[in-house]
Amino acid sequence: MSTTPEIPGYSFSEQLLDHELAGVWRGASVTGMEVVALVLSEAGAADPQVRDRLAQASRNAALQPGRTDAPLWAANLTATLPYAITQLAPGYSGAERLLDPLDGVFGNDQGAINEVRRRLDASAPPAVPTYAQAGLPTYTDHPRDSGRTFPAPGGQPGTSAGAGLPVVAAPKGGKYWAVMLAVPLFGFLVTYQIGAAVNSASAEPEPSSPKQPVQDAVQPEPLPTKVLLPGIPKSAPAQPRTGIPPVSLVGATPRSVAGTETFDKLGLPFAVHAPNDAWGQVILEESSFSIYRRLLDGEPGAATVDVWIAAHPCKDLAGCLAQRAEFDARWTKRTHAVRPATARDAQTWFTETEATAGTKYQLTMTRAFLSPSTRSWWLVGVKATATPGTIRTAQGVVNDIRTQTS
Amino acid sequence: MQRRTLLRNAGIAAGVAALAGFGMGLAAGKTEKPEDLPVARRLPSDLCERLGDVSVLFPEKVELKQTGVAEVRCSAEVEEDSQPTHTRASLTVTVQTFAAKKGSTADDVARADYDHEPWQAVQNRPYPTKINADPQGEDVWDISVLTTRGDLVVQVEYAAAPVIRDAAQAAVLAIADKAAWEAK
Repeated sequence: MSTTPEIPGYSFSEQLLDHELAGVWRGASVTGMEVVALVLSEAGAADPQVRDRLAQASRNAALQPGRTDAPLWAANLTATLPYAITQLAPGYSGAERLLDPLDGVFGNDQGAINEVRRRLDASAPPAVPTYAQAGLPTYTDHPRDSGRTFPAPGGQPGTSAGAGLPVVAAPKGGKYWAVMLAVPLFGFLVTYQIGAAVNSASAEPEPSSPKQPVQDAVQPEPLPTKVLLPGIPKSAPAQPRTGIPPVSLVGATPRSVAGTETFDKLGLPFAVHAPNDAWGQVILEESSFSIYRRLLDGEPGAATVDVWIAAHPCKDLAGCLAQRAEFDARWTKRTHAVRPATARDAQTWFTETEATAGTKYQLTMTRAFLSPSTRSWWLVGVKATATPGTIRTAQGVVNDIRTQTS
Repeated sequence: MQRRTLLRNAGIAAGVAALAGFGMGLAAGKTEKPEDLPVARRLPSDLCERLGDVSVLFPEKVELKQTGVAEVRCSAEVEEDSQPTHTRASLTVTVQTFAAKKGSTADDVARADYDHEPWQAVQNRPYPTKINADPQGEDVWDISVLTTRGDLVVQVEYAAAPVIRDAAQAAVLAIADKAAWEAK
């Protein structure tokens, strides 16, 4: 085996042939291009005829390459060991072909040349379709560009990194897409499981109260024997009383009830007249002691006249009088009313409170009466509030209630 | 060349998919199998019947009607329209057991549900208890009680008239204790 030749810009990795006149080497340029070099041996270099024959063969290889000959890439015929270099291109003969003319006898080195080519083929990358095979002109059809295709670093689609020749990219078929789907999908599934496992491992418990032992179940107490209070019996609708003289508690005598709005389904033991149909009723609660209702001349909160009514059933007049204090205390608390303090008669008490800077005019009344409708005694409490322009309207409603409870 | 290109492209796609997979997995967590999910304790099918006769809370005799399985509701109502006096009452008892969740026991989940209600705590009770008493007028009360024991939460809602608060509250607490006892 000969010593590896040292040619600036090239490195050689394998000696393909060790001939007595020359060695054939496989190597690469500094740009990565694979090359085949023929380097004269010391014996060959010492023979002027051999040097001349190499010079002639190299000239032909450079100027008149055959269609399947790789053109001469580099040569130095005056070096101590002259050499000639061609690009290593699959399917093309390289510098090894320059071996045959060195001894002046053509054809006698064909076996050695074939052996070189066999070794090149064995180590060359798989053949790829070239432009020539694809029906396109090869670079070798253009001598100026012959062999000047630079290898694409890292490989570019459409070029051959190994041979430096342009190739037609293979069509992306089913196999390509199968790999392109399967590999990412596999990666996704694996890392998804990893992420999910990390999530589960790092899950924090929900915030909750400090741990407390479960209390022993306790035998429950029995239900109370009595929960509800007795309810007030319901009253049938009270017909408005007619033909009775109007009574005035305060203010003017009530006008005729003709054309007024009648409320007789309040569940109260008497009917109530309101000046017009703009008035409405609110059914409040019924406690165990009193029935509560409300009449207004508009929506709650926007009404100018607001009338609260409470009714408490009594056994008789004496019973009503005995319960009046409790009744007044309860209904005035419930309606935030001023307790009626002035006695109008033995069954009627009232208080009239003028409006102040922060309060409305207020007229309250408590009256005990025997209801013709229920034929039973009742205590009735009334609170009417009014804005300055509607005081007489409020007084009229209270006077009507006084009249209806005559 | 073709093989190298394929490997390179597949590698890039796999890298992107792996990152996305890890992120999504981290966000979503493990998928639980239905058979692995914790299940709340089943309540007796005759739970409302076990609560006994609650007619004392009503103006007439009533029977509690039971609905629901995971969350049992026992309810009865007497409307004022059906009564000769101005009297009405309605009662709803809701009994629910909770299942454990990831990182929490069933007791923790029940307690968290109980803690969620911002009502006033009732002292001197066998179980943690809260109450909300809402007056609706003279002798008219809407009273709600919430109590918890272990994995159980009981809510009792009672609306009645006429009634005083103390009597209504005592009855509601007794029913809550009864429900906790029967559902233990």
